[in-house]
Amino acid sequence: MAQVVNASHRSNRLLAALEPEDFAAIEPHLELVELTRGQILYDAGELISHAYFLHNAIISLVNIMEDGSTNEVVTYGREGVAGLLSALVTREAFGRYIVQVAGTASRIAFERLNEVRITCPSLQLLIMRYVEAFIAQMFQTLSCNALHPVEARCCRWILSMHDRVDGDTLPLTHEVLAEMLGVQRSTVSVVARTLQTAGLIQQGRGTITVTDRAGLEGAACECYGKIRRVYQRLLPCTYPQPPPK
Amino acid sequence: MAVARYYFDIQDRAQVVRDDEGSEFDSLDAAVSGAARSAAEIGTSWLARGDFSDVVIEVRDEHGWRVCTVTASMKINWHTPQP
Repeated sequence: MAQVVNASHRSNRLLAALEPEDFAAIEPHLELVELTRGQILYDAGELISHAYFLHNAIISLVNIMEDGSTNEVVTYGREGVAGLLSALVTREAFGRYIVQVAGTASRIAFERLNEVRITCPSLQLLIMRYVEAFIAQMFQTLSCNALHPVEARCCRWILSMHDRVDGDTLPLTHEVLAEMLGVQRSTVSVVARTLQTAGLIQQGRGTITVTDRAGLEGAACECYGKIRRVYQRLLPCTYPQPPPK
Repeated sequence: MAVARYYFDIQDRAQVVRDDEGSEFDSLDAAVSGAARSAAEIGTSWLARGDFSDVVIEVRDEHGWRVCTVTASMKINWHTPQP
C-alpha cells in the first residue's frame, strides 16, 4: 500500500527528478491530497501554509484587480510546485491560487520543506533551477500579455494546459478562459470559433478538445515555445512532453 | 438593479455567431460596456492579422429582446493618392 502512495508522489516531475536519498528525506513530510475543480487554495494576502507538488491537477495563480477583472499570471502542473516561490518572506499569497483541473497533489508544510532543503543540497539546487525557470516563465508571460493578440495568447494557454492534462480534452469553459486571458467571454467565443473552423480544436459542452496540436503551435505566439525550452534546458525531463502524434 | 443575463451575438464576416450561453451583468449599462470592450478586443485581434473589418455585436436580454447593436470600426482616410 505504501508503495502506491510513493508512486503517486513521484508523479510530480520535480519529486521524480530527486535522487532516491533526497526523496527519502522529503517523503515522510509529503501528504497526498485531492484537489477539486474551482477550489481556492489561497486568496490574495492569505498565509501560505503548504507548498503543492502537483500530479495531474492544474492550479492557476490569478491576479484580481479592484474592479473584479482577472488575469492568470502562472499555470502550475506536474512540472512544478505551487505556493513555494512567490511569498518567501511574508508568506502572504500574491493572488488567488485556484484549482483549474481536479486531481491529486503532494503537499508539504512550508517549514518542513525549508528544513529539508537546508540539509539536501541537490534538492536546493533543483529548487533554484525551478526558481530560474519560473521567473523566466513570468518574464515571458508578462510581455506576452502586453504585446500579443488574444488569439495567439489563447493558443498558448490551451497548449500549456494540454501539456499538463492526461488526454486531449480539456475541461474548459469560455468563462474560465476569458478570466485567465483577461478578456470578455464573448471575445473568447469568437476566438474559439475561429480556431475550431481552422480545425485546431473541437468545442464541446464546457470542454475544448485539441485536434491539431501542430496547428495550434503554429497559431500561438513565440512565447509558448520559449517557456517550454526554458524548462527543458533548466529542468530536463520535468516539463511534460507533448503527447505523441 | 438586479443581476441579469445578456447575450451577445457577433457578426463574423457573413455569418452570425449566436451566443446561447450569455453572461451575467449587474446592469444594462455594464452589459453594453462589456459588449463594447469585447468589440474592441475582437477588432484588435483581427487587426493583428491585417483584417480591418467592422465588429458588430447585437445585445439581447433574457427575454430575447434586441437591446442594442454595438459596432467597432476602423476608418482610414488617405490624404495622398495611394502608391
